[in-house]
Amino acid sequence: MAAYGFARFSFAGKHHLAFWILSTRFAPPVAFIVPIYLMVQKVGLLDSHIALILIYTAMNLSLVIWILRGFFAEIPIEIEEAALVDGYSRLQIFWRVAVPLVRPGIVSTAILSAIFSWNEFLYAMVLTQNRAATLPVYLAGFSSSMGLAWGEYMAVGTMAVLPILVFTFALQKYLVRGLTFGAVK
Amino acid sequence: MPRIEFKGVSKTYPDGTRAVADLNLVVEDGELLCLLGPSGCGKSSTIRALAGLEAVSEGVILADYNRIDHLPPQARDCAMVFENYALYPHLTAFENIAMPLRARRLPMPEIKHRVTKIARMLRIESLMGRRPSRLSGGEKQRVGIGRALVREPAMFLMDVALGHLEAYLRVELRAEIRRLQERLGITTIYVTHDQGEAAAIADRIVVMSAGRLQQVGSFLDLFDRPVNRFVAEFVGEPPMVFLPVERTDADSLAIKGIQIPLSESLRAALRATKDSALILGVRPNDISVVKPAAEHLNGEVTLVQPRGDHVIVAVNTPSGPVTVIVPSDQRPVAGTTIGLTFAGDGLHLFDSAARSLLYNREESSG
Repeated sequence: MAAYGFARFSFAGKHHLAFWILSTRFAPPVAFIVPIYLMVQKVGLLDSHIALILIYTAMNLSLVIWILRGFFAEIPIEIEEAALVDGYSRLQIFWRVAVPLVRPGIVSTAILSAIFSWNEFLYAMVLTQNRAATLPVYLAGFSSSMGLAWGEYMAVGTMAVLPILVFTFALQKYLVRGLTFGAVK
Repeated sequence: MPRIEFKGVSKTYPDGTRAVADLNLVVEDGELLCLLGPSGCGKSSTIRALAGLEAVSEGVILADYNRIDHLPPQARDCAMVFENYALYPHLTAFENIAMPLRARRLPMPEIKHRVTKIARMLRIESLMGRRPSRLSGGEKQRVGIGRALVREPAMFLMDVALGHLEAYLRVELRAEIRRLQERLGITTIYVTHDQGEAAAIADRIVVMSAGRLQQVGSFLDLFDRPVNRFVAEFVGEPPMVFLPVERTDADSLAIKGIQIPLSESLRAALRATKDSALILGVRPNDISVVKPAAEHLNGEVTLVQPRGDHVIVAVNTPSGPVTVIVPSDQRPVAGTTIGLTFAGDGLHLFDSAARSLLYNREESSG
């Protein structure tokens, strides 16, 4: 919805706000690791799923808004004007016209952020011990001073790649549509 | 069906462009009115303001004497057809036409009944299951018209609706639009830059230029009695020929020293004005081709375009290019020199500085 707002309405400081949202992606994640660790510790969420979920959501949100904004902006404005004269309100247009039209965009953005979260290593390593450890963290556990446990490494590596692979193949149709979205007319 | 009135309507865009300036216009109940003008003349802005897609900067819009310019588009009961169709790409033709009815939460059997009825009128029943991407341009615009008419709106607005279609489809669809509009009695505003289209379907035509209304009237009104040089030039195909003339006397005119025979009423109009910078306007079919002679305006034929029973001849004269319509059997050969004479009763006279009209051709010849 934020993305739709950015794509369609003009308001004071729009470009500054959009840029500010993107700027949250500028700094390397390492720069925030200490404050975030302290924050998570304060609220007692170390080594929990909810902490990672919240952080990944926050991290991906800016990217998602920017990508979806592009998709929304590509909907010909006349289609929404047609919906306006057909008797729909702005909110109805958002749900009944704009969202169905950018569905491929939503799917490809979802895949992208799922992959980002799935593969994220740094925060997962610092914030989890073993209860909420993600696969990349678990994977890293196989390299020890005793050398690399190649067998286990490979097995878990394959397991780690599989869900994303399956996910991507299943939604490939939408991904391709998402990339060629400009060809609506 | 309402009577629509624009009262002093102006539209200025944030970048300072004045798209519509002080428009006063009444569209009668059930009338089909054409807004005609070149691109950027404000005709689209006018109907977008009526539909509620643009806010007016000044003035009011009334429907049956009630102000509507402050209402949101949903509350105005305008249906609109767009130049690029603007169908919902994710819905079938049936669902596209049903959308305005769904917005009004009609029961499903009623929706089905009305969509089927309008589809039959537009002869697109067999396409109802298809998505817009599988329809041709003409079919898409039929669906667009169906979507607009299905809810029997108070006002029907068409924004260059046939602009993207091939010529023969345009002719076919405009006849259909006129038939439907008459049958349903919907007040319609039709925006076009094609004067043939406007002449074919409109009750009245409004000519606009640079945001200003120039003239309102039937096609023949505009053609025979243009109020200014813009209308004279814009209406009529090929356009009116303009020639700078000198005053040789209180009531006689000459082009490059060649006297022009004038009618008595034109002489009277001439005596009433003191201007000396005058422009003569004459329709290409009021010019005759004769043998070149000293007492005629002579010129070289540069181009002959066949048009069936007549040809359009471009002639280069000392006063500038002139277009003449000649019957096919009398057509001249390109490269030869011909003489031109003007029918005395087919002349219009304009003030060259103000571009305003001083005299129109006589009524009887129209």
